[in-house]
Amino acid sequence: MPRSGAGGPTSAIVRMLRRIDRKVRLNGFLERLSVALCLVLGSLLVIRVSNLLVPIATPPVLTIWVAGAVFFIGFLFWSRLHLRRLGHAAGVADSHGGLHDEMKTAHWFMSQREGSPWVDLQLDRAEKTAGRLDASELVPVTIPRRLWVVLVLAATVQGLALLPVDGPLLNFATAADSSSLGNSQEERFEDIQDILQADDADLLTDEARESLEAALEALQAEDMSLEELLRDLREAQAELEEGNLEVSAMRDALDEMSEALEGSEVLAPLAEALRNGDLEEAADVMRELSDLLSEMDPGEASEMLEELRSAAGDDQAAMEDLREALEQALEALANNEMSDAQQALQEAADAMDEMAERQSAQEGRNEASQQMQALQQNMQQQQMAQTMMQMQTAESADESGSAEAAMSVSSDEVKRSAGGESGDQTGPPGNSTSDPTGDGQADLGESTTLEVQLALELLDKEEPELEEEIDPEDIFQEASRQQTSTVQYQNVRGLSTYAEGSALEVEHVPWRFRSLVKQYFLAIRPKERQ
Amino acid sequence: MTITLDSQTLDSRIDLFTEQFQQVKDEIATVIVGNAEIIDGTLISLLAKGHVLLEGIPGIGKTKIVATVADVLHLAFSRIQFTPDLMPGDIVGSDVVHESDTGEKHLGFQKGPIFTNILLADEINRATPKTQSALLEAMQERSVTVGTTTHTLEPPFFVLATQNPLEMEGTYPLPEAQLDRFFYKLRIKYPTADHMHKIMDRTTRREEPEAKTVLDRDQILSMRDTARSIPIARSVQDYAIRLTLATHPDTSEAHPMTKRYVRFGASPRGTQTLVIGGKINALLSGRVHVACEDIREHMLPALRHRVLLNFEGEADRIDPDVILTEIMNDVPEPTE
Repeated sequence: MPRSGAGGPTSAIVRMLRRIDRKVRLNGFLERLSVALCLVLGSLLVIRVSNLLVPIATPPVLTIWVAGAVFFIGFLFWSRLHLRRLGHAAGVADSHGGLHDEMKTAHWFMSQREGSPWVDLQLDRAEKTAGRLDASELVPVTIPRRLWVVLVLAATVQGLALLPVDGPLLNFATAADSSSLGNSQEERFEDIQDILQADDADLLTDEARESLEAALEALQAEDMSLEELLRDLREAQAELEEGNLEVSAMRDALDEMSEALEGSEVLAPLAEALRNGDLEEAADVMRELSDLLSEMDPGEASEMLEELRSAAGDDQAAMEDLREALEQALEALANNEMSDAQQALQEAADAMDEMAERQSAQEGRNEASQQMQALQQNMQQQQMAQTMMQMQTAESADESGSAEAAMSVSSDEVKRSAGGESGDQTGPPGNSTSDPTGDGQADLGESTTLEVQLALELLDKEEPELEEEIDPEDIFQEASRQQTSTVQYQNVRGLSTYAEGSALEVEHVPWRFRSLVKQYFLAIRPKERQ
Repeated sequence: MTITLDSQTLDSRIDLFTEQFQQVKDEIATVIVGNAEIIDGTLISLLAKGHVLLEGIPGIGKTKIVATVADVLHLAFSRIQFTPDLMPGDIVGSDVVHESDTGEKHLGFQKGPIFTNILLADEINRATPKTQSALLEAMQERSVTVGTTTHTLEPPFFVLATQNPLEMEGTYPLPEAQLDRFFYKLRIKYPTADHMHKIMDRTTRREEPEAKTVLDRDQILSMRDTARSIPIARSVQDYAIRLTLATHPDTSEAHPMTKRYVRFGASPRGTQTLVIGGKINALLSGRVHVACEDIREHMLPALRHRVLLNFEGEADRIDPDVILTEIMNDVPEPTE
């Protein structure tokens, strides 16, 4: 029968072991509690900090708290399942009290049915020892240091909750990838949005507006490659610069008109305004002339209108409205209809105003075009940097074998950059600086030139391998053949040197065996005379 | 009340055990300088019904220790100098023709030197394996069989063998079976300078010190009985077993060093040695229970000759003590 009955000789041992067991379990509970709190608070802190730094989707706060509480309660329940036995308390008593396994032995013999005088003696001694032990002193209740960490975590979580932050603080840089727009995506988005919003006077053509809006949508959806964005920008830029030709022709016609009017005294202010490019001023001058027309005598008025009409030219499409208005004025004057003539001259002034507006609008478009140009150059520089990084990665990955692969990658990049989407560029890549879409737009070839230079450098590195190899024996014996050698006979190495060189350099010997071959030839080399 | 009386009796037996052990040690120390571990190991082996293999370079007192132990214990003592031409019959004895006073002749058994209480097998590895094996039955069974007759050896029978680790020429390494029969393998170290001074002082005078007899045969047998009575808890015994199993390369409990360097681990005799040695150690500490530290304390002499190294271990000159120390450090003590 087990010897651990209540009131028996071993009851003192059992009581002491139970006290120790309670202390041990309390300490274990505090330890696990601190671990559970650390885990819960640490998870909350990670979620909170992540939410502050990067835009990630997080569940509602209530869900997080409920999940944390369930985890915490589960953890505590699980820890309660790990109830210790008295044997463990005996082990703790032995180790903490330096009892040389006395309690473990006593606990074992207490559970055994058979005994002996020696076992009884051992239990008797263990009982006396147990009577001397103080459980509180043996296993003091210890507050885990981890609870301090819990306090710090709790304070940090609370502090972060009070921190007023509008949105994510950081935008983590993604890996270099030519197919994605990467970390500057938002900047580009804002640039294009600025161009669209700056279009107060409705300067953009419908096509340009459509191209830019399509680019904005694609950027928002993050499904646009760098090349596609560049193409859309080029198309929008081409649309914006389309009116330059017309405005330029108009400017030329107005210049010619100004030169033609320079000789007239009455029309000198108009000529000066035209020469200065101030079309609004020119329209005002024409309105003043319209008012003065009734005060002029008919001949003088007719002469002035005729001069204006001839200065407006005959074949300038941009001056069509002005020319028609002046002809109507001349016709009305010929019919002695002064008011109609004045009205026609007013219409000519309106045509001049219209030309002024057209010129101003085109200037606005040109400004937008310049912004797009700057944006494209910025994107091309990033593309070039990515390409070079890819080439470096490919080179370092495989020094020997992947050199050709890196060439192929760089060549592909060169072709893509130089040839754009069409890829039908036939001339030397480095010479191509025009837009492959055929719009003849701004220079886009700087990055391409650098890549081609890199590619050529790689090609140059390979060229020496193609050169004809020279027999090492020829190098050594050429001087002797020409009887110009000054080397003493004793200092000339034996033929094994050539065989060694031949074996190592000409024949294919794996690198790991080269030192072996070299050692062999060094071993058989004839000793040099002193 | 019975328990109290018994407890007092047992307490007195424990005290007597400790006292007698200390007397023997002190008496031996009057002749032998230092070597406390060797003396303790020798006495523990004697009290555990075991035998001792002493290993050490020549001239450091192996034979002197054994002779002194025999003097102190007042037991019959024989010495056999093992040589290559020593025959088994020279050890165990043989049937010889006896002639009576009347002239009658008959065959009679002539006991060999093995019929003693303490047998010094000096330089045991110089004899051939056949002769060495003559000790096998005597060491384990405490009996000798000659022809068809088995002769029982009178207890206590205690073999102290010595061997020289340096000389390999003309020696026959002890077979594993015989090595396993030695309770301890003790390595005698070279004495320190202080000890050398004491040795010179004692051995270069006109009169050399002589040990007196302090224990007789019955007292030794009583001590043996006391030692084996000490109880041991299952957890501590389990610890001894786990230590032993850790020396076996093919078990799941094998230590990483064991897997790499050991061919065969310690036998169950090794575990018996750990437990019995632990009991004596506990008694000498005044305890009536065996602690894990008692097991650890004598693990090296108990198991070092039972761990057989593999080729890699031999090639790397790994000392079994290193492996055993690592095992002691890594095998955890029981927690309950």
